[in-house]
Formats: sequence, structure tokens, C-alpha cells
Amino acid sequence: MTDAWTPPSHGALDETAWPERLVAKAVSRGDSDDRLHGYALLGDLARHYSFSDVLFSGLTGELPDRAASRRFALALLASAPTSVAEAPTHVALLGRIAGGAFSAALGAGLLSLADQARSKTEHHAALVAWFADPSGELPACACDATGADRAWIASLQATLGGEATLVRAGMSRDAAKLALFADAGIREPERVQAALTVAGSLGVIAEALLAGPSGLGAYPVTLPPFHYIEPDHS
Amino acid sequence: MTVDPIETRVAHTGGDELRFRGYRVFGQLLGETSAAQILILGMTGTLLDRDAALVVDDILVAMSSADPRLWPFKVTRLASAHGSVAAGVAATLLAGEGGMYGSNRLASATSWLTGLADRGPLDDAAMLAIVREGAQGFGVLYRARDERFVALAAQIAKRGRHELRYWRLCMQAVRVARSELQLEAHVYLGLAALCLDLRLAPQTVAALSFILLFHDGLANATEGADQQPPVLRELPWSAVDDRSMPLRQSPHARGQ
Repeated sequence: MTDAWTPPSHGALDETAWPERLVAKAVSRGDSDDRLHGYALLGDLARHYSFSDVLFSGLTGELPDRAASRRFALALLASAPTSVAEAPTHVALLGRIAGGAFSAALGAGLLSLADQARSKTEHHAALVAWFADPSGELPACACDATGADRAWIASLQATLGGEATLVRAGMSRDAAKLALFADAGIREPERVQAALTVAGSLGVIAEALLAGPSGLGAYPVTLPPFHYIEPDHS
Repeated sequence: MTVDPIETRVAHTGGDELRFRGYRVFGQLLGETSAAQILILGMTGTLLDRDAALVVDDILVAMSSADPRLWPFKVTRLASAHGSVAAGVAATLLAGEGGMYGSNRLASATSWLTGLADRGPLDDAAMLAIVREGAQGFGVLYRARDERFVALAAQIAKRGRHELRYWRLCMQAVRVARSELQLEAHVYLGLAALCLDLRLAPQTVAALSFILLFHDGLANATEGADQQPPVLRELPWSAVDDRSMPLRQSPHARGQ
């Protein structure tokens, strides 16, 4: 391939000897099958593993054992229902109500969802440290201060049965979800953020698919109320 | 149901008049206010006078560094390659946040300069020690100097603003870093100084980076969404250096 183009003036972008190819480290494209971290998607993973196992592999580079697989699937499921009360789903809903394309509304919702996941991991940094030595007192960031999550935690513990877990009574929902991911071996913040974003997209998608411009008149514009305060420029 | 109200000082939409940052849009701003003034008013709450707003014009023009090969705008081109200008602009604003071209770098340069000013007058030896401690707003990739900084410095001198407090401090740091450490200033250090000399609140300056990215990103997103080049939608696999794991068998396939 020849490139006869001549730049109007020369600079670093034109004169630096840049690498000529993009590096792939996780996904490999093949004629008959693709690979993720070396595992054939159709010939191997599709026959022996669930989608959540493959997602685990995407996050860690390795496939989960049976216990981690079960815990990871539960953590994903528990983190899936991002309700319309939460900003990411609310964003997607508003996009749809305003007549935006589904792809645009979904993209905006997922943008907010990824940022919500970042915020959650940052807020729970002390909890991640606690996971390494869970014998001490729960950090304040992980506690359900109002008791609002007590029944949900009880349901989760009933689902877990007698299995060893980092989930504790008195935890908030968000903390318990992070504990489930930690049970599965997902503790590093960026991996947790990725898992929360993939899982939480389910709620965003489900609500956005059911919304549209016909909901415009039913949308509560003043929820919550905004009060404009005139700045004093004198 | 009781939901606490949120106070806003940004805007209110009334029947006959809009309010924006404490001004009546139709009654006070329309016909009197430039694009640069309204951008900075929205960003900071400060309505610059016309002369000061010309500095913002200078910044925007000097920062028309929109080559689509540059990292932020390669993002724009990729994200707009399926035909959406909005996706291109949104990706531009978001993808580098916290990195080398996001608002964090401008914020840290601003914070460093205000900290420097708080120390009072410094001789060059003291300045060198401070720069050595960990100066923010320095470092230029792949070229000897940041050409935008050089051009802006010349333009600011033409405007007679080169003697203002933060610009002088900035240039002292640049001179010392260049001569003693062979360290070059990034244009963000200059932008921080100019904004502080405009008396913008330090915590509001970082948002300027979004205006700059928007300006250059929009140009690329508009052309990119129009072109929709197949090669950006997906590169040929021959252009990829595959360093992923070689084929291996999963534990379950091995019967484990």
C-alpha cells in the first residue's frame, strides 16, 4: 500500500516511527472459532461453561472452579436489578421518554452505570481492606445504618444457606454485593466495577425497553424539586 | 412523600424570561454577551468583561489541536464511526477522564500554581527546589516543546497580560524547569495561569478542559459520523498483533 499524501507541515505525529499494529491481549479472532484468554469460544467454552463463567474469565483471565462459579453467578444476579430509582436507569428512561434512540439512551445509561460502579468501589475501599481480615468490626461504609436492608440481607443469607461467606448481618445491600464478588475471588476495584456494570446493565436495559415518548406526560419533572437561588452579583 | 429540594444556582426557565447564573438571559445577556463570556459564565458563574473574554478566545483558538491521530480525537473518530455525532462527542469527553488529557491534569496544574502563589515571592533557587519536589503541568510527549504553550505565550504578551501575577509565576517556573531540569511545560500549566489571572475560582478552572475537548471533538465527530469509515468500525485482523494466550483446553473439557 502506498501513501502519497504529504502533510502541510511536519510534526511528531508525522515523523515518529509509530508501531504499525494494534496489540490484542485477551481476544483472538479465528476463521473457525474465536478465543478468550486462549479458550475456544464455540469449541470449548460454549460446550462446558455458562455465560457467567466466561464473564469471570474475561475479568480474571482464568475460568472459575465450581464454587467460584456459583458465587459469581449469585453476585451477578444480586447486582442485576438496577431500578428506575437509581440514576443509571433513570438516565436511560429519560432518554427514551425524550424520544432518543434506544442505543443512545442505553449508552447514556451505561455511562452512568459505570460511574456508579466506580463510586461504589471507592466508597467501600475500607470494606475491600476488611475482606483480607474479616475477623474485625465491619467498617462503617459497609453498615446498614437505617436497617432498611435487613430483610434483603436475610433473604440473601437464606439463599446462601450455610456456605462460608463474607456477607454479614448488618451489611448494606451494596456491601453485601461486593462481599459476594469477593467470595468469588473478584476483589480488585476495576474488576468489581466491570462486574457491577455488566450485571447492572440488565435493570437499565429492562426499563429502557419499556419506555418511550408516550411516557412524556407521565414523567415527574419536579421529582426531586430544584430550587433556583439567584446568585448575588452585587 | 417528602423529597428534599436541591438548590441550584445555574438556571431557571420561566414563561417570559430565562435566568442563567444570576442574569436575565433576554433582558441582560442577549445581544451583549459573546460565546466565550457565556461559556465561562456557565462554567464558573463569573461574567468576564469583553477584554478578559478575548483571552478565552485566544485559549480556544490556540487549543484547536484537533488532529484525528491525537489520542482524544482518535477516540472521537472510533466512537462516531457508526454514524453518531453524539456518541463521538460523549466518548471524547469521557474516555480520557482522569488521564493525561482529562480535567484532572488541568485541575492539578491549577492547584499547583495557587499553592506556589501562596508561598509568596520566590527566587529561582527556591522555585527550582519546588519544581523538583513535584511540579504539576509539566511534561511534553514526542516533541521538544508544547507548541500551543509557545503560541499562547506570544499572544498573551501581545495582549499585555504577561505581567499578571499567575502568568509571571508560571513563566518563572517554566524558565527554571527548562534551564535546570530540561523539563518543558504542558499547555495546561499556561491555561491554569491564564484562568487564575482571569480571577476564576481555582475549583472551576478544570471544567475548561471539557470546553476544549468539546470544541475539537465536535469537529472530528461531525466529520467522522459523516464518513463512517469501515476501517475504523473494524480494523482488518492483519493489522492486529495477536499476543493473547495460545489455544488451551478448559478444565471442564479436560474432565476436571
